[in-house]
Amino acid sequence: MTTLTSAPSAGPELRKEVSGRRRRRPKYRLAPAILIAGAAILFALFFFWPGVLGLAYSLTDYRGYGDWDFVGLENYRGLIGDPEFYRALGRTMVYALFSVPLGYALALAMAVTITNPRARGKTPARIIFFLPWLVSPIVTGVIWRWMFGENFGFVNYMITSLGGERLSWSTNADLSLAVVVFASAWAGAAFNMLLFIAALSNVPISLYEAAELDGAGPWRKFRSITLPSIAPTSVLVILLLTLGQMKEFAMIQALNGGGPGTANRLMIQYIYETGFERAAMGYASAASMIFLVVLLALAFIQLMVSRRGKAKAW
Amino acid sequence: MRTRTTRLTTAAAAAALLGLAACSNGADSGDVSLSIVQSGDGQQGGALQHMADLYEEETGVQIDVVEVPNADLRTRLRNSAQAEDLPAMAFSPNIDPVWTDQMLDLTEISESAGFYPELNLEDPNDGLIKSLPSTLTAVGMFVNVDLWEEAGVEFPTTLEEEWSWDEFVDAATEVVDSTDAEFGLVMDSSAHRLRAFLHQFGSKSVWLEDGEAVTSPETATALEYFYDMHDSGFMPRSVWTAGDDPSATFKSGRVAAYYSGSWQIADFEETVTEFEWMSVPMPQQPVRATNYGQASAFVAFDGTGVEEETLDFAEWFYSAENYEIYCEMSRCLPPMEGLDIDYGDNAYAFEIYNGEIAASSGLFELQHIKHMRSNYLGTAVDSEPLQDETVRYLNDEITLDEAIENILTVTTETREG
Repeated sequence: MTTLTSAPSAGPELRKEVSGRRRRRPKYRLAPAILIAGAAILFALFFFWPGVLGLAYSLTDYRGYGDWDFVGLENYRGLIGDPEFYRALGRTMVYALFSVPLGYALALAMAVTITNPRARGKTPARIIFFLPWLVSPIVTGVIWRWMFGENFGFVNYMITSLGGERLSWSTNADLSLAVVVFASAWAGAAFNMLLFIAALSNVPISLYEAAELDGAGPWRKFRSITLPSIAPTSVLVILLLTLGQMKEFAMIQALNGGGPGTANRLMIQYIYETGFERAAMGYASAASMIFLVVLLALAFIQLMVSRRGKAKAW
Repeated sequence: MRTRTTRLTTAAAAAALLGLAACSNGADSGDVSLSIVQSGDGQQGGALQHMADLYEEETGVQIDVVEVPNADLRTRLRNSAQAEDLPAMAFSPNIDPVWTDQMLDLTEISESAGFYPELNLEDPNDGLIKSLPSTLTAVGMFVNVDLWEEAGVEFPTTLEEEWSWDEFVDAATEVVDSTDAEFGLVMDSSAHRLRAFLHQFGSKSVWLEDGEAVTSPETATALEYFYDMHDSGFMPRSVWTAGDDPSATFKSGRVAAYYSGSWQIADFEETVTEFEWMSVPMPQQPVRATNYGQASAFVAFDGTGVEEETLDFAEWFYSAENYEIYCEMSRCLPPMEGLDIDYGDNAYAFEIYNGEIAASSGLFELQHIKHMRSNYLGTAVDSEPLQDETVRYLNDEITLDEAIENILTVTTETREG
């Protein structure tokens, strides 16, 4: 049995060496500063400064041009009593509530399929799965609008050809939102699939082998080994998806313009229309600030939940 | 080694942050080039390019025609103004307060061109004319002749023959019932079209009195009629409430009639080959009327360094002989009298448009020019409350009364002058 003894205290020579090391200049000082300078300047120019401007505008009656007056919290007071603001925020939440799980499940299913050792045709599958990611959101919107056109769209043509009734893909608010949910899942799955492929390839094979010896089936292995092993990536994907879907603009604008009517007008559209079309830049900036707080709160809650579950994303 | 790496890193970082600025117009090298920004269909773009080529042949001055999607045109000009990089000139859908102080005086050109008086838009601040009508645009109706003939249903072809909206709906419904047509009517989703529809019901649409937006009782009657046409399936809901393309819907060959505008004639000549189409007089309930105005505003900008050359081109473009060439090529209605334009086989259509315009004079001054004039006074609003609130009404988000109340409220808030 070994007995632990305390480490001998450092002698004077060792202390001198250490303090000498402390006094020595670090090896790299200027290069890292220069390398991050570009990013820092760009961040300051295109994120921080516009953010400060937005906050300033939100306290004024600025219309996007001409003079403005300081109005304090008037815009925020107006927003608190604005049903259109709540409607847009609520619809954005509903959109995220459906599109995030679907996007997550689709990306994970694609990644599991591609990383399965028994899978055939992995290379063409990778290409097919990844293609939507290369398409711009505007083009995605146009493609899906063409497919789900209510009067002369491809899907309704197929339905009626098979003897069915035409569906109101454009004029029914819920069906219209469902099309956007599926379109966004289709368009965004590839990127998250790559994250999952990286995570899945890091799961030790020995765990699966041990589980097989214990008689575990594919579903049990997926539930008890795969999902817990990729939990940090899952948290990251859900966080990125949530923030991305909450900020959806280009695709829904191209697909149905927030229609029918204003039933599917999401938050960014509301801000855009208020600021640019109705020339209420101060009011729209206040809405942006409130939306920023909502997004920060969502991100914070998700990170807290993930830390409790010991699935740290970073 | 480390010093060299640091230098290289510094150089790379500096290069990454450098931007290149492009100039719109040039007169530095002696070869003058002027840029003109517009949003037109193939026909209009082609006509303007033809004029640019003619001008270069005559004067040696190069005109660069820059085509921009209609939805982006306002933003493009606004951003250019804010970046102090405006083009020499533009065909703009509106007058933007962001650049009103950079507009050149076009009064002399306006006087020599002799536009219709109601199209003269003076800057209320100094009385100068700084924008000229590009062309005249008017609302009108087209029918799919094949469908009507197949159904054996007659329709008017000249202004002497009249039909009410009730008669039109009955006739077009018969066409839908007797053929494979899907809809009786499709209409462009725009306030411009809707105003013509309101006029035909006797409404004067929405106008300002002492700074307050007002309307007439016929507006409610017309909007309710419009709602019923959607509700019954006579018109496709998806065009007005969900942004489906009305032109493509008509071109499918399964719509009896299309309520659009004169600019479609040129496009239909080129693109509609599957069926025969025709311009017809619009229905009346009981008023014969259309809504007309300048398709866009020709504006020229100060501070470009090529102001003289720009004014020279504008003067040349709006001279009678050159503007006739442009009008013939782009199949447009001229904003002035006295031009001899050969429209070929579609001359009858332009006669119908001109007749409906003549019947509508007086309505024009109520809104369009006032709306444009309000831009000079510091209002820049891209939204159209008449259209926006009608869409919400059609989508059952609000009632008819709420729609009208909102139209008046938002118009009062956002329009001045």
